[in-house]
Amino acid sequence: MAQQVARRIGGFLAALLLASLVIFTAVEVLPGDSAQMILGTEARPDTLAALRHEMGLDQPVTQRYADWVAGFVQGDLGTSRTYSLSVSTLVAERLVVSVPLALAALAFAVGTGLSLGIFAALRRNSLIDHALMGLTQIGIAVPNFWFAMVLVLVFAVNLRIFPAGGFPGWAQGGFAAMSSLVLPTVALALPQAAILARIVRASLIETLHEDYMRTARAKGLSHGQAIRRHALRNAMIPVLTIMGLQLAFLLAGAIIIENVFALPGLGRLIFQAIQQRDRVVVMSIVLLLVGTIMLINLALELIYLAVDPRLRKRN
Amino acid sequence: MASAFNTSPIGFRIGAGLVGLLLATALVSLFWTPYDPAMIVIAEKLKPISFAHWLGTDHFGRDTLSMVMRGGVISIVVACAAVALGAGIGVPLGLIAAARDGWLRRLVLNGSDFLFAFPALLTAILLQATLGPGMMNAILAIGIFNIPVFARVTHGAALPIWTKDFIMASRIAGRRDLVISLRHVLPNIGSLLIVQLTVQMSLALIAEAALSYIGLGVQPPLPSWGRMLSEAQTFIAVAPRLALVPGLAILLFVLGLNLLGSAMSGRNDLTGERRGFDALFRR
Repeated sequence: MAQQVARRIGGFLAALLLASLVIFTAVEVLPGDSAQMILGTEARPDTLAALRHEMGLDQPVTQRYADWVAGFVQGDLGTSRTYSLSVSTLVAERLVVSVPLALAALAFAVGTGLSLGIFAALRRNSLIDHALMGLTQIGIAVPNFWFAMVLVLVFAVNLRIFPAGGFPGWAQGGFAAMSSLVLPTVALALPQAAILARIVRASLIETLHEDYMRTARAKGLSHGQAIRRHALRNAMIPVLTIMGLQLAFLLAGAIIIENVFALPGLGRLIFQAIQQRDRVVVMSIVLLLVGTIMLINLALELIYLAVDPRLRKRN
Repeated sequence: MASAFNTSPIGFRIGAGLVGLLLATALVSLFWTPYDPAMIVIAEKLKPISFAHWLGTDHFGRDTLSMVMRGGVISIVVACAAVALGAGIGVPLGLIAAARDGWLRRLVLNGSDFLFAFPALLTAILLQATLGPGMMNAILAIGIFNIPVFARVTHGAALPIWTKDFIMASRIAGRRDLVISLRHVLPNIGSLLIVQLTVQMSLALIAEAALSYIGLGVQPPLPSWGRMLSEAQTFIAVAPRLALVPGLAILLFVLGLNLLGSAMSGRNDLTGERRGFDALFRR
């Protein structure tokens, strides 16, 4: 067991290191000299040299990579050129928008997905089951940023219940901040809720036919008790995998949704950085997101290892 | 074939109808559209739905119907190219991983796990630093994310085939792994791969729209559904139909592909009918 855990953590660290190399190469090495790009081809050599020195570009590539990674390990994500602020500070400021958004969307997706999926599975092949599954087909097919625009049209432009965009900040009181996150949350969560509802339904229908369900009834449990104690618990195993994957999609999806609603989260920060050619911001945020996705996968693998004894025996 | 269509599950018929209709519209737009989709007539800007402009005009006076028709071409081309790239690399990798035990399999599977941590959006952000935003960027970013998907699915489906008796017979006859993979394994997992292709096509269409919407994908003046949405957002209060029309086109196309996919995989939850891929095509 300990060996399995150690091997998985080792694999995670190796993957993270490889990811940092890929990201550094794609953003910092391949595009060429960023000082030249900022100043243009007409720049005077001494101005160019000064900017290159200021940006650390006069150092060898390997040194720059090593500095970036070493800084990252110590929590120093570099310094943004446009903001003249450390990237960690910028990211921390933006996380107070992005993290609540992603978590609220996950909670909303799980809540809706679970209840609709269980409801449909227990009424399998009824009219309402067909109607719900038809709706989830549409929910999966809707691009979430388009759905976001439709929500703005209905609830912000026409009904004027929620703001169309922007974020007042948590300092103004939680209510204004939360109401500006409602539409983004719903838009981000919709496709995930639809996927989850279908998987919960399929998974629960499968477990309802298992032999242990008949045994549970035979030993005297009521239908409801058997479902709660046996069917639901077993049905949750595949659902957990999907939820882990969904958290990764929510992180990436939030980048687009934040741009629809002009929310000052990580997504906005990374797009402003792309436009301003602020490379260290782009690099560090992408590595943070990729690292988070890898960390979620590692956590899932470790949970399985703890829950399922069959996995521990295998090599 | 017509009788096969009439007796097939309702989901399959709706899906085939939607996909067929949108593909046909895109195809027609290559030869004919009501107006030139790039023609700017400022005097005609933001005109509502009328007999002359069935879906109205945008802020440059361009005909929305013509743009949606032509925009489909770019969206479909990007999605097809991306999925072809993913399947073209991922399927052979999956076949190799299933045929060979040892380090080669571990390399393919670990490599897939690694690529899974890069959603298309993040890859697009990385690639645009070198390539700049554009169609190529979108195709590569979505394609790269599809490689591990196809490698995993192919490997998972091919493994049980390798334990079958006819594979053993083929091995005894002295066939090489490559020949066995192509002649015996691939045909046996073909239907599964086709289902996966439709699923990935639908995801690629949404991804293309998202990338073009945020400006990393298709660039002006090329029309694509995602680009139309991005331009429409400014006018959402004035002319909501500009946002509704391309969004509905994406929705219907993706819905059609998903219905086709689940009908072919035999998991038709719309009607509860359980009929597989084989029942649809081998009659």
